[in-house]
Amino acid sequence: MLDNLNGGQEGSMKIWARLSLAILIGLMVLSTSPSVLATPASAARQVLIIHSYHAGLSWTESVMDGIREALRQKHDEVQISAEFLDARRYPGHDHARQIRDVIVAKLQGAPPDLVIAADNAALEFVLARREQLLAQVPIVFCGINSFTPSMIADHRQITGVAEDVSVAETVALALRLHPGTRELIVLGRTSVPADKANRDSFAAALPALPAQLKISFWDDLPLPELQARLVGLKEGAVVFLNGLLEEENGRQLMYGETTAWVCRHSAAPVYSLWDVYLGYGIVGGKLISGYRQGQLAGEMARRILLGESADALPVVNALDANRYIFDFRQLEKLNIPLTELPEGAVVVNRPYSFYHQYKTLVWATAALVLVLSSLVVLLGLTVVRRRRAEAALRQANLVVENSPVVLFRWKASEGWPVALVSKNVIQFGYAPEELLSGAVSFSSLVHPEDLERVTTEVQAHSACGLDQFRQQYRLITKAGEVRWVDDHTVIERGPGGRIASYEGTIIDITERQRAEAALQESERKFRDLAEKSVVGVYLTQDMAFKYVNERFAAIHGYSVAEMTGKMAADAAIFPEDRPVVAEMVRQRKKGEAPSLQAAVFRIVTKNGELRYVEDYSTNTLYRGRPAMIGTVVDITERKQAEEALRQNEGVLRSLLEATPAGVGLLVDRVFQRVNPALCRMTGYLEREIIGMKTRVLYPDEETYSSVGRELYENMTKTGLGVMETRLKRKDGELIEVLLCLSPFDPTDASKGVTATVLDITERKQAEEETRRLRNYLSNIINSMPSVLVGVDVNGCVTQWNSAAEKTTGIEMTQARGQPLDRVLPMMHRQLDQLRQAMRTRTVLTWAKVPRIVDGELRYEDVTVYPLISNDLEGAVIRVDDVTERVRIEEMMVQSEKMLSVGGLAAGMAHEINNPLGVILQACQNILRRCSLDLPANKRVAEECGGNLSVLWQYLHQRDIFTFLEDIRESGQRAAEIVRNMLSFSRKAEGTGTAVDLADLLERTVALAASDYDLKKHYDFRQIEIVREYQPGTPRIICQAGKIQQVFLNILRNGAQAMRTGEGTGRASRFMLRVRPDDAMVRVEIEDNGPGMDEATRKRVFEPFYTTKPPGSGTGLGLSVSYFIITKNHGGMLTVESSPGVGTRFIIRLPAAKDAG
Amino acid sequence: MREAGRRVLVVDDEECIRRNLRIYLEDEGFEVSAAESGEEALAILVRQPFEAAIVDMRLPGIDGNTFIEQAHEVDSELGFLVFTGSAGYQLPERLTRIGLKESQIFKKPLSDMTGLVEALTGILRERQDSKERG
Repeated sequence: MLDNLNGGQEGSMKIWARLSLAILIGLMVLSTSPSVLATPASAARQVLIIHSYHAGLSWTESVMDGIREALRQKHDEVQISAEFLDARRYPGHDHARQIRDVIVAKLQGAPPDLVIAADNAALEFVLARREQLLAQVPIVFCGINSFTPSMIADHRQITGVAEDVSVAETVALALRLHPGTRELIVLGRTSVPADKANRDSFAAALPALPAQLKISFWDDLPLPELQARLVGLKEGAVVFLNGLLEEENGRQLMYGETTAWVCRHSAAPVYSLWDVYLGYGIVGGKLISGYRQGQLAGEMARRILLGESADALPVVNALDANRYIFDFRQLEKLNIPLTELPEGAVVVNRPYSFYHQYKTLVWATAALVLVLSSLVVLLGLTVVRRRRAEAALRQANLVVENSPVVLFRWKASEGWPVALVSKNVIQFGYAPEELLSGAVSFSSLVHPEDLERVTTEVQAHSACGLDQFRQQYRLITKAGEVRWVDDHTVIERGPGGRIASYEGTIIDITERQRAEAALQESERKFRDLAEKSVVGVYLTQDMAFKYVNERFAAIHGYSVAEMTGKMAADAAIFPEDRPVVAEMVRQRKKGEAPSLQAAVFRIVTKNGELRYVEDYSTNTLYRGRPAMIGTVVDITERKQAEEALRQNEGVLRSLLEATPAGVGLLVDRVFQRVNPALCRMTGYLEREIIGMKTRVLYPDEETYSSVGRELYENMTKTGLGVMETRLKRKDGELIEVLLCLSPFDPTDASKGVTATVLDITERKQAEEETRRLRNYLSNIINSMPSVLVGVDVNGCVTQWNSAAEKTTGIEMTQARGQPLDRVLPMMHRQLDQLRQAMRTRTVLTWAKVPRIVDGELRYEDVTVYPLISNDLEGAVIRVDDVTERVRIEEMMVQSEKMLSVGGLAAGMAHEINNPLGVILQACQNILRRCSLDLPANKRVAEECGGNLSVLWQYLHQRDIFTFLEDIRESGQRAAEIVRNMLSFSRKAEGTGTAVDLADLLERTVALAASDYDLKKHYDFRQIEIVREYQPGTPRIICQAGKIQQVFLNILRNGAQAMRTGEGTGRASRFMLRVRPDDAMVRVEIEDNGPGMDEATRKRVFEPFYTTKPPGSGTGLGLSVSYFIITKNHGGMLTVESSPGVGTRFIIRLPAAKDAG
Repeated sequence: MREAGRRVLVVDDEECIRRNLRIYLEDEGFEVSAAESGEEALAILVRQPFEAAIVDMRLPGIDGNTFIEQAHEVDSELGFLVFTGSAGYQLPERLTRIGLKESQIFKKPLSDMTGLVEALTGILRERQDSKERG
């Protein structure tokens, strides 16, 4: 489109051109002044036109124009008046009746000479009242829909023009022009009878259409919905506008409004069947033309007025009245070449570009004409100067005649008689005189094939009010040659708007046509090239697409038709990118940007999708003005791929940065790329490490090569090389790492590998620590004297310590995993309780569980400790052999018993000792007073008259002395028991003195040798005594008597034991040892008697435990000794014995601190 | 036949003990007096002199230790033998201070009184020696 400035220039140029033409023509008229119209012969005839609709309706006006045009061509005297039934605006009865009454009244006053009834309502109105009002008046009708002869069968003096839509032909035409059409949409209305009729006739008249073609009638749709539907139309739809639209408030849109509205919203091309819709956006069609209807009717009226009988004129077939008419602008928009149009099609709205094509000429002419005109005006003022004026005029004629432009003036009558022509018409072989004389009418010059079209176009233009138009057609020269001419015509109207004449310029454009044809050919080739191109091709001018190819449209998701001429060049550009593209376009226009530099931007397709395009564009000229031509490639996929790649790269990078593992990309063991973690791990900076051989990270060459060898070997075999090794940091510190190698290309490691490095130093240390801890714990557990057994929740063994192995004789490896009761039978009956303890997490203890081991009763404490850690279920079972402790405990119980006995004894000893003393002393006195040795006895016996010897003899013979001796012995034994019982007292007797134990032992041995009881049973002097007294043994603080009692007890026991062992042939022997033992003094008394079995040994200190025959001992001796050593002196008394070898008592007493 | 300087005072609350001791000591040639309490013995000591006293510890009234102490005050040359039924008897310091020794302690029951006689004889001999020196 032309911009405003150009348009303005052109506008002013038009005025200038017209002005100059008018002056020229005016001057010519001065020289030759023929009468144009014949004078009328009779008085004015009255023609009444009754319109069905209202004045101002474009249909009505067109019909009226046509009638006027026909009547005025030769009937200036005809007086035309009009009445309007206004049936469309006021279809209601009341209105209609009132209006009709008015008209009836008028008719009653003065009937016209002829009535033209336009459209059905008018015809019905006229026919209904003809008899009363218009009985003799001939009637011509036009615009009659659904005409049938029966409609006028009862009437005479009536004829006219039927009106019917050319549905079939127009549909066929549309299908031909839009080969991809799949759907026809017919917009119409059923609320108004006329439109309803149109709708029905459209449906009825549809020809047999291709099966895949869909027909949709969109009747009476509210505007918003209709708009939505129109906007959403897809390619392949064609719209037929078949009626007017109504707003929701009931206001009816007029033809122009309706058409403009529909075309503005429709995504599909719009066709119609009436020319009233033309010029507002429809493409065209075989249209009913009001003008044509009017013209035909007017022609009939004219003939009737001239005397012909109306009945003699046949009714004009409706379809014959219709014309192919198209709107140039729409054709251009839709890229429909004129050649596609049917023969004889009328094209309106051709752009007027006379100025552009003949700019120089026009300017030159205009300038000249101005000069000449002013000259002529001046000359005309005086007759004297007339000659000079004539000369000037001749000169002007000369200028015109030497130009290729032929000036014409045609009269507006049959055959377009030429009223004026410039002399250069000779170029067509005719002399001006031949034309001016009427011998040759202009229409006879027009190529017969073009004549009808030219005629119709002229009528169509004038009907549309286009008084200035351009046509191209062929002229036949006098020699019979065909010449293409470009004709620019201006309608000259007389008074009342009547067309008086036509003025025009004609220029021979044959050469140009040829050139254009060649150009078109060339253009067609390029167009084909563009059309079939796989890249999008476009041409923009004034920010609008003048041309796009299929591919370009496809990229944008539109059809070619939707884009061409319709879309703003930047409409599809993504709004954000528009400024960039605009800047690029600006630079390209100025030549600042190289044309082959691609612009990449985003577009939004019809369905809203965002696509990337690459645009190469360059400046060009289109129709003589700057334009931009370019190609576009859809690079969305490439962009997406790039974006994906970029994102991938980003993901990879963030992955590398985020991972705590060191990652390096290696080629030939040289770092190509590393992540921060690797730098941290190795202590190198990234720039240091890149390009470095991995060798620097290894502590030595040997490691480097062996690790490399193994890793690469693994990798080749399995696709992944994994290995633990040591690396050396930059600061020399060694770190333990896990290396993992993976090749980029599994088939070719030389292309590079990814090395992942995990610092496992801490893990290694932790492992070592764990291992040590495990060993430590294991040691602890195994060092335990207790049997420790771990079980899982099912009661199966998980741990089994050395004590368990020793006690059960089952090794760890065999025990592990076994059910507990199988390897630890003592648990057999406790399994349920064990499980419960694990469940409730309570510690379970069984104390002193008796068990027979090797025939001996032993006691065990069993404790179940459930594991309380959350992630580990099970229990630990501890079994302790507490047999010893149980025995000691039992002994202690006995000791306590004895202690209480001791306490009791202490209380009553005095009371017992006194009577015992009396018994013993009395015995002694008796024996003494019976003795022969005491002189007093003899004297007293003699004084009594007796003989002491006889008495003694008697007492002796009657065993009195033996009884006394028995009393004495029993008394002594009782005294001994009391004494021993008293020694169970815990009460420390005295503070003790420093004693040399060797010395004390020696004294005790001496005492034993002289012991009355010992002497009585064993001869102590026959026992060999071996002494091993270590000199310098420290003394101890003790109560010597007590310790001596202990020694004596032990010696007595030993002697007694050795005596029972007599007969083995072995000499009895005591080994006596005294030596220091840490802070103690150790005394050993060892005999070589028969020894004790283990059971005896363990019970030897029990009170009243004795192996001696009854009566031979109290069974308290060793118990008392034990108490003296352990309780009274804080020492230890133990016994070792081997049957058949002997027994060794070991006494340890704390050494005196300050004693040597 | 009574020998001068062999007078022994037996202090014991039990008559049997007193009798058996007296008989045995008299058979051995001692001049024996007896008292059944410390108070009685002290009264006898005030009236007549003794070379030695055999003293039971557990006595009605003052105990044996107190008696020995007080008797010593009456006659510092009087010799003492402790003859007790208390197995755990130990010499208190107040008695060792006035010259009593472990060897002068005899515990009941005593199956042979020979030792007692020997101890008494020792005391008398000591007395005699000091008198002769004195």
